Amino acid sequence: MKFLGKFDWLIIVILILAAIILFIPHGQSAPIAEIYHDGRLVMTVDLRVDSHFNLEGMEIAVSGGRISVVDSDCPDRICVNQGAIDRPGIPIVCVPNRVVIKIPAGDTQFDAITQ
Amino acid sequence: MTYRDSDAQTAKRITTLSMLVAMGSVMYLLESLIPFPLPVPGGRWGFSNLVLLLAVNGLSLRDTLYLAIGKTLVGGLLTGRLGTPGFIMGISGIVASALLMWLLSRSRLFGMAGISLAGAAVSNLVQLFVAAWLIVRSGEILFLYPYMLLLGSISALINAYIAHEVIRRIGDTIWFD
Repeated sequence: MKFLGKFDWLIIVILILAAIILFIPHGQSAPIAEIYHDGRLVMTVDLRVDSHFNLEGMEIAVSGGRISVVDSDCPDRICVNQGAIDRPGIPIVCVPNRVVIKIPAGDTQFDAITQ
Repeated sequence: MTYRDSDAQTAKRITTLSMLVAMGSVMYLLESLIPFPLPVPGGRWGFSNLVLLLAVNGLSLRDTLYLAIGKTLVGGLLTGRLGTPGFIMGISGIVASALLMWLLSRSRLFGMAGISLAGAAVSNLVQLFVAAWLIVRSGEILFLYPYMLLLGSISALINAYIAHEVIRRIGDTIWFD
């Protein structure tokens, strides 16, 4: 079997296209974070105000416009090790606790801010 | 007791599968020591999928799936991650990717690099979909996909190169002759 066949370029082109499309920037970030549990929005946090609270076994802190999980009862503690986020992109996801913390991208967020 | 040909074949099949599962499990254990820079539960580079690349050309579909599930189960036992959400994501991904790699290999249209890259891409995609639908119940985790695609492609190309060099030396029919 060859290392690189003629049709392999097809796969490579598809993967590169997929990566480019998915990497397109998500727009301006709004200074809020949304916290989802089991897929439902349970909390919207203003990132301009420092705060500290507990949710679903996780200790979450907002400081200087960034949100992070300070402590969690989950086994891998991937969410804690990920550190703070302050822009759309990679959300903080705690799979064992079924919690997602994301900073939503532009557009749709003005409603949330002006509320 | 008479000695039949099929007995020898069965013995060879079981031995081959056991050897590949053992190799894959050890690689699974060792690669879990290499830090994976993305916040994905059970996130790994996927170097243990090298054994699938070595075998996919010579094994039946059933044995390919046995190998994929076998190495993940034993590897999961060794790393203590058996049954965790990350493990469930991983095993779904590896079954889908083993199926795809077997099909691509049988089509005889693709080289090692294409099979390996496609396998990695599908494995990551299925992993994240399982997390999004069954575990977190939120599509947000899919934002990780482009990053996983990038990292997964690096290890997929390394795997493909090693598999190609190994098979060039020992031949891809060694498993069933």
